[in-house]
Amino acid sequence: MRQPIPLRVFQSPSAAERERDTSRPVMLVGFQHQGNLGLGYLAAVLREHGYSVRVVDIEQPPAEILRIAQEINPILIGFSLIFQFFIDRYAALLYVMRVHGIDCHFTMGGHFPSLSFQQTLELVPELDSVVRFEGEMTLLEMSDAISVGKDWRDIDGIVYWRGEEVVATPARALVEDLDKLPYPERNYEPEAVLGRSIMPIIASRGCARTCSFCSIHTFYRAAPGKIVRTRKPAEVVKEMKMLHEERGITIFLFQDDDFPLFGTVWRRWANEFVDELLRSGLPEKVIWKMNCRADAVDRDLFIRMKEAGLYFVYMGLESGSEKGLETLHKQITVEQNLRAVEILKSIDLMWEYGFMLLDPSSTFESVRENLNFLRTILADGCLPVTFCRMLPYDGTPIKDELVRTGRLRGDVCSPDYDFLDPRLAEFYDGITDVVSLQGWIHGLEAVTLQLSTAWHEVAIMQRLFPALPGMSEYADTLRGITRNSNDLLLRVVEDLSYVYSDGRENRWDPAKLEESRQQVLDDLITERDDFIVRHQETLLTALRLDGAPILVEESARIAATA
Amino acid sequence: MATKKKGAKAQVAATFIFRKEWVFDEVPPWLRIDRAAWTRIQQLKTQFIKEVNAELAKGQR
Repeated sequence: MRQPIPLRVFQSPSAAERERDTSRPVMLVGFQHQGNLGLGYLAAVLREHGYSVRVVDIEQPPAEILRIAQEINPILIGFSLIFQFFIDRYAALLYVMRVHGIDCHFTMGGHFPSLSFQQTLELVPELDSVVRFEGEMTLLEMSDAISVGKDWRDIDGIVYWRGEEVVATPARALVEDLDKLPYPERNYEPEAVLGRSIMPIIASRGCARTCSFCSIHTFYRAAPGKIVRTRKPAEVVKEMKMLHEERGITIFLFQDDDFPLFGTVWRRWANEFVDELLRSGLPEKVIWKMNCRADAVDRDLFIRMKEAGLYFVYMGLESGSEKGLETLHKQITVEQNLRAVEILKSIDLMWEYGFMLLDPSSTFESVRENLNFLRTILADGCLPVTFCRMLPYDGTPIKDELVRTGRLRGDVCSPDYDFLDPRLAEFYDGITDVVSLQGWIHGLEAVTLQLSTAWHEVAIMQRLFPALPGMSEYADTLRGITRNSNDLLLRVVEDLSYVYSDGRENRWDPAKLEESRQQVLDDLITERDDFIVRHQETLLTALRLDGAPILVEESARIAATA
Repeated sequence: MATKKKGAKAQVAATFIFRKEWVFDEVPPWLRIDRAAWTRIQQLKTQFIKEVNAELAKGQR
């Protein structure tokens, strides 16, 4: 049962004063792809207080995760759930671990467990508790209590079963000063592209906006404390410098919920960040990517950021129809989205975007508006087409609205909804076959993913390697391949919309589409390989000069045969 | 569509292998399988829960 959560007025003993026994480790389990900063911060705080911490990738076989737990005998295992649709997978893992005798405390954190804690406890009955909101201090306090045999049930920021009843202790305030946290633990080999190492990093936490499909703002608004907190620009640059000097990192991926750019205060922050970067000399050696809203794209600021190493921008454009943007509560117009794209193109800064072709307000007209929008922004072949269907995740205002109107369908692992026009569901199934099953947009073999990777490589070569002869011709070729692929996919989807709205005949043969898809990939890989091979020695020399790690030389076929 | 080139495939050094997985985002499981199959799995799951609940109710009587 949900209970009102009172704010606690007294403070528990500080972390430094608390009694603890650090002889047994803490184990943390979660997705590790591209580094998991959430787990990294938890591990760093625990380690700072004397605990040894073992971070385990959920992608490892369950038997291996079980073996590690048996071997290290932790006092507690913390599970980080970042995608609600994987809760079944976690539930199965926890069940297996309990059956095999792992009897330590099991807890879970993340957006879904924080906002839908009762459901989490019901779906994963092996859990002893759920840690809500930002978990650094709560997990430390919980580890301390368990390590010395004290009761953990009065700790702030947790939820647990008491008999048939779910008890939620007072919510813990969000971390006020992010710079007081240690740097996140990054005990893994960084990924590398073209020999350049990549690392995730954050400059802020929280998002001030209120998009209806997103649970980030509800996560931060439900907890006491300031919603958006930025680190000091100098501290961010210091961490980047340390990672560059000690780990050879040259590509930083900012994973902020919304990079601080919007409005007077954050624009000042961004300018200070640029000043710090320029003072540090890093822009000569490193590049960075960040996520922002389209209405934060400002020509002068972005020119400065580009000079300071910004090489790629992700924008959540989400819709090309005013009605869609209104339903998604983006508080932005189509015109603003178009303007942002125009600015980025005019200053020659690469970008990518998130886009929802279908949302609960969709009609066939809005779908076609969206397709026209995509045609407009991608006409020059600067990027591959990508889109998805909006899904009603837990903790989002749009899910509540769908519940209210009786349109919510599916379950926590496959949230779904009824469209206003039932023919759109058939249309969605039709395009799912094309864009997902046939691998145009989703999946590792998808055209979009591979074209995006090729464009990232171009940006990296342009910024982190000496000028390569023929680069602009290669970019033109890539643009041609991208444009042709985009044209075909958008035509297929548009035609399908008429098949389902007007009963027109479907003229697309799946076998021929698959042939075209293969042709796009073959063209891409051939052109890409040819270019790389032509400049391989120059690229290798640049890496050697910078002391970058170079893999043992062996002739290798590239992705097409992978 | 660009024309497919003929001839020997280029040999790329290990450091420069095309690493498409680094920008890969996890997709929900239902996007990986046939939608009809997914719908069927959901139906079976619902049916299974119904049967288990019926068995449990019988046991409690």
